[in-house]
Amino acid sequence: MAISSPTHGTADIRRRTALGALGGMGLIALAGCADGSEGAGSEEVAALNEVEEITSADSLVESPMLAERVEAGELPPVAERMPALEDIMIEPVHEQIGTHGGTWNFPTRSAQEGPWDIGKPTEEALFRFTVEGDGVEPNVAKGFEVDDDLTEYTIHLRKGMKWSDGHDFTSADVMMWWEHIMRPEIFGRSVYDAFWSTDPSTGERAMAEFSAVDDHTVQVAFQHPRPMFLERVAIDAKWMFAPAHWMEEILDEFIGEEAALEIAKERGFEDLAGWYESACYYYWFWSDRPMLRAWIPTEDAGAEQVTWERNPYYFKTDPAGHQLPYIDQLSLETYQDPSHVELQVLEGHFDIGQFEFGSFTLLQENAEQGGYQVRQWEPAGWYSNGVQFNMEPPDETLRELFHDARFREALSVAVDREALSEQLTLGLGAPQQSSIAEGRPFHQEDWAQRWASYDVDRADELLDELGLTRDGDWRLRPDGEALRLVITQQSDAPQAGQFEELLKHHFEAVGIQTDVELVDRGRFGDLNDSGQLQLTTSGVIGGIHPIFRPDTVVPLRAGTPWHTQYGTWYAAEGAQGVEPTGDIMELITLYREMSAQTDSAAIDDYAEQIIQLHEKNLWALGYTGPVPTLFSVSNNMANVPAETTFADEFRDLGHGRPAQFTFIDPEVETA
Amino acid sequence: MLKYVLRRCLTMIPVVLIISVIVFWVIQLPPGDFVSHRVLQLQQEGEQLSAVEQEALRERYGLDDPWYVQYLAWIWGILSRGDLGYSFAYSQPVLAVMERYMATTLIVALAAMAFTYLVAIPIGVYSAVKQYSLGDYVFTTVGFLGMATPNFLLAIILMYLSYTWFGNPMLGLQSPEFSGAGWSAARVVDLLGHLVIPVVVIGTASTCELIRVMRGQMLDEMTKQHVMTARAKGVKESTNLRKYSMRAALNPIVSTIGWSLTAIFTGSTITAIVLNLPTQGPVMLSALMAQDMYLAGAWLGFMAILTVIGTLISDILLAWLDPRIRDERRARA
Amino acid sequence: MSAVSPTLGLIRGRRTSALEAAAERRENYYSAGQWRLMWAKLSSHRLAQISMVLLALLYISAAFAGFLAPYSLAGYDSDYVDAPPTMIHLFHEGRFVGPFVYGLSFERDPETLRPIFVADQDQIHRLEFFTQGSEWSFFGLFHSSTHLFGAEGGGRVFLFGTDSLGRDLFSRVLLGSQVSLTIPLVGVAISFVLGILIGSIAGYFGGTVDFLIQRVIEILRSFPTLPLWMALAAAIPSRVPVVTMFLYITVIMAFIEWTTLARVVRSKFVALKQEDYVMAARVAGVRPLRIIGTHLIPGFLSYLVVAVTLAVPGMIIGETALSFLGLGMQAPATSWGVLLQEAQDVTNVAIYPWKLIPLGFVILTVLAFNFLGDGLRDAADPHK
Repeated sequence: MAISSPTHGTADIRRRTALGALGGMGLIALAGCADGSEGAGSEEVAALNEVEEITSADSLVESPMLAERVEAGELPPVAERMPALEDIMIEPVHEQIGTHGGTWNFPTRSAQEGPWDIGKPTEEALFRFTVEGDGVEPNVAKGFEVDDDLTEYTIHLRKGMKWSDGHDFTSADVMMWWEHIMRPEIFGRSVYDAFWSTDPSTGERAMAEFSAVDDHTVQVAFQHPRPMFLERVAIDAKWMFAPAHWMEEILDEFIGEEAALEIAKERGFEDLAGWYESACYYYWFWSDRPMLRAWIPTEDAGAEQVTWERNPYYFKTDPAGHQLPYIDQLSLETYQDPSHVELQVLEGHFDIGQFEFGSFTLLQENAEQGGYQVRQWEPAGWYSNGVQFNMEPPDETLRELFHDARFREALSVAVDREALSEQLTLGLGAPQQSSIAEGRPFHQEDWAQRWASYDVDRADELLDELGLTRDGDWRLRPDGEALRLVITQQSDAPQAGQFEELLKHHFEAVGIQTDVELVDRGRFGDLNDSGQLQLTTSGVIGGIHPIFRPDTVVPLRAGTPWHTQYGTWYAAEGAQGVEPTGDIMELITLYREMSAQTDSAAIDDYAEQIIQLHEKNLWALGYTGPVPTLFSVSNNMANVPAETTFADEFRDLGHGRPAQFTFIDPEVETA
Repeated sequence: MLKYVLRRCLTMIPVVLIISVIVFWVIQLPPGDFVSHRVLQLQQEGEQLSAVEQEALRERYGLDDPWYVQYLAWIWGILSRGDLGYSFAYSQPVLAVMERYMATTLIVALAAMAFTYLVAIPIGVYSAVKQYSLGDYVFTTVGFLGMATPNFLLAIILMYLSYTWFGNPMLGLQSPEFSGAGWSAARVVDLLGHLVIPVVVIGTASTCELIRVMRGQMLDEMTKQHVMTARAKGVKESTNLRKYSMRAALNPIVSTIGWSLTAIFTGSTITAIVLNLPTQGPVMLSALMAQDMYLAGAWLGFMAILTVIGTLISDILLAWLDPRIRDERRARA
Repeated sequence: MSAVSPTLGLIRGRRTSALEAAAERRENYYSAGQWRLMWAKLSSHRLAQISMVLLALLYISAAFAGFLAPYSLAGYDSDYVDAPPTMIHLFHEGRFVGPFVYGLSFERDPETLRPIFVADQDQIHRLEFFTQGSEWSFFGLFHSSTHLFGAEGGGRVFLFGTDSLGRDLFSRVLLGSQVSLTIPLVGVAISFVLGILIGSIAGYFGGTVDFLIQRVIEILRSFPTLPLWMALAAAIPSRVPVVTMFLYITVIMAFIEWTTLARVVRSKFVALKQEDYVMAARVAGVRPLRIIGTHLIPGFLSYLVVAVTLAVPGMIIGETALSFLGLGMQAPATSWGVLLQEAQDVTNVAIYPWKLIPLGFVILTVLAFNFLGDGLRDAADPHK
């Protein structure tokens, strides 16, 4: 079932992380049979993927598109473009060895609204998450070593690897990124969590130190043990390199501020900050910027349609020696409204389209005519429709109520989950509590049933117990005023207003006056950050593992509505926000201790405790279980996983390894 | 006459300035600003901006000044350097963003206008001449239907019908295979094909109105004294129509041309969103929602100026064409 | 009345009575008041007649929507999500039973999750009239639970089908019409008052006053309506009660509309100001307001009536545009614009087309007002 990750000869370099043994938690692949292997074929595929190393330069095969250019003398031969044979990365194929050629029609939002639409699927991180999702594996890097107390990481790069313009990729590129881009924080982000180690006794943080051992080895040293370093890099920093030769031409550190500003203006920016953010962070829109991605833009962004072409220096091949990617070109087409993608998928134009679950019926009914199949990727959230309580609302009475588990339970059992499932999720979202699904790590028995029945009497009973007496239709607060709740949601969320309307209906049936506020993004952000929300249906909590991206389950910074004030407190080290108490504080304590552990079993242990606190408290109530994200995949495309996990940590579609997506018959795929 | 034109032109300037102030004020009226919008967007991407970083961003964009200060700085920039300001969302000067969509906007608008006038006038004449005939009723009904259906729904229905009947929903202005390719006959045909739905959707409302006006005017003119005299004298009917009735009937129509353009510009925003047209409408809408002050302000100001100019042209044309007013002026002078 | 003495008619006998009748009619025609003339001409305009009847029907049903609608706005029926219109049958197995519906079973297609409703021939639910249902109120004046019709037992009668939350579309169309049919009227009324007031001041007094007012009108007209609506609506605090939201929307829509009317009024004033009878009144020392009210306005009131009637469709469409942008009524209150915005989806257009029925209502109403306006215009035209 599991596809073995690319392993070269010697065992120590480039193994999975110490956490690979998260299997200790009974970690079955996160999405059942993760790669959706279709029975009989899986053994063949596994056999195909047995190859560990390309042994001879003759077995390298490049796309005819590039072979032409080599013939014309425009490009060096493939063996010279790829890394040294033993350092070439072999990407396992999902179903079959592919064929070079074809154009992938790719719908995307405009560069301003959706830079990640193309950014995530084409990303090449230093280390990326494995297909099973249980840890990270080397990607751009060839491997790593770490000392026993997790204070020194040695990262090995690939010899002979080159940027898309032919320049060598060396440790100088990693150092350039660290010394001149990340540390001076020139692209508008502060130094990422990954690069800090915490003193277990004092809680003080110290920044990492980078050094280049040689052209292909980088050392990252920490003062204190830094577990999960590479995982955090994969999530926060993603890549950890930048083309030194190109950066030297544009950074003011090297060419002076005046010259740098001139370049910024030429590129259409008013100041250096904007330009650097674009050049160093959202850089994949610049056609002259050297990259490591499988495809690179042939023209700058701005037009409604932009073509990306294969990178001749891409460092991966398939097990048979074909240089990846299989697909020659991407045609990025901008759309404004999701209905456009729907129509053009129905028509058969877009080869892969991503959809919310609501489009399921339309897509399925037209699948035959449109020549595609609908794939369902599981999300990492704990629910599809749920509500979060802001645990520190400005109103004192509400605060007391929210902190009382009985109030939350009342609001949980007052709602008919079966009905909501039909109305909001086409009957597919299980009528259950916000929880982790069976088969996934940290699943807790009976969690899904907790407070999940539809029991209006019990709700009334609990509310009466809390002293919220009824006067006519409505319940009163202790101070005599009518109890009012406000549910806030963003006005441009899909199905905005429908779920909230139903909640209002159910809450009012137990006597709580409810108002629904649909606000635009900016306003929502303001309300959230200042802690003024009461209840909100925006956002989902959960995630792959609390140690990877703890944001929604542990208050580490502002942003997640249920713990915004506490997160602010933690991030500002007490200067702002509100200090948490009780179980919420316990979350932070457990997280701190978890971060200091070096043993995977111990980490999992703490993680489970964190999860159990969530099960007990249910600060966010879920009403319908998770529903998949849908992908429509053209019948002419292969190697796209039928089922796997859809998560931002795994870079959405990127988790399917787009470089090995192939057209079965590229000839029919022109524009 | 000249004095009248000059006077109107001069009064145009303070009007435009006042409009720009109001527009600017209205844009920043909703609570929050561009940074709050951006912060939320980043959060949804998994990024975080600390409070300090947000403040820095606000300062960088000048959003921590009160709105009138921002406005004055902006106006000064326009007047002194022709600098329309900076679009935060696009990280580019506003002018660059506007230029990008100007061409397609004009194409769509002019095509819609051409459709409107070229279709409405003949139909109006026909309806007047053959009043109460089947053709009259059919055209009137179709026109009314187009006008009575909200644009956005009409657009999506037409798109879906285009998909079911022709297998191609005709989104956007060009089929993907032609982008980047040179201009050829095939490409022009493709463009025209894609223009059908937008033009029909945008144009039908004003077409209908125009048909009715034309029809009404023609009916008025056709029963006038001089026409009846000519008819009695044996002048051919078609000449009668052309020389006497139509010319007079066209007067009020011509004078409303100035407004049609702006009406089409503004009316096409929703349609452009639904049909995925790369025109200014959707850009402006998202700029407005994100409170991208200068981009939204520039677009709105531009449209306001167009309207003012349109009114001016209409008034001038009216004054010039209408012999009564013209004679009155001469008499007075 | 008749100038011909009745005795003469008797003396002349039957032969002349036809002539007399014609003469009498002519007499009535020439001495009739302005409104009677208009009414007479309007009655002969067929399309306008039909429109009047249609509009009357729509408004009456809007007034009694609570009674006519079998279900309420908050009738979330999760067992009947996305259901097509229910068939009403009269005959069961050959026998006449009276109007009834079959019981429906609900499942989802396992492949596509499309809701499938199968009529169960054994379950018959008669339609009852004057049944008890959810409570409704007549503009807050009195409450009742009686509905015109409903299905007895566990039956459901969804004349226009249901939406994705299981709400009856027929009821929502009726209840939504309360908003969609009154907003334009109120908005137009506001424009009317403002338009006449400001237009007459500008037209009558002329000079600087006129100049300033014209500039203000120009400024207002130069506003691209869409962004203005959005910005104004975005500034409205979202937690407002239904009625207040309704008023806000009306004001926003009327905000620019009155300028058209003002311009018409002004130009009429400028033209009529020179008339002899106005001059006479001024010389006689009649106060300006009285001149405006008694002499000038009645002269072109008919034009105003026409203009107002023709402004209503624009407001109806405008309300739908506002709803499209998400600035319409808040749930559970609804309007036709909200219903259209909910239908605005490829899935709905392709798979659940009954959700587009409100479009038919919008079109009908717009057409009706247009034809009525046309008829009024023809009727008011002195040249005919």
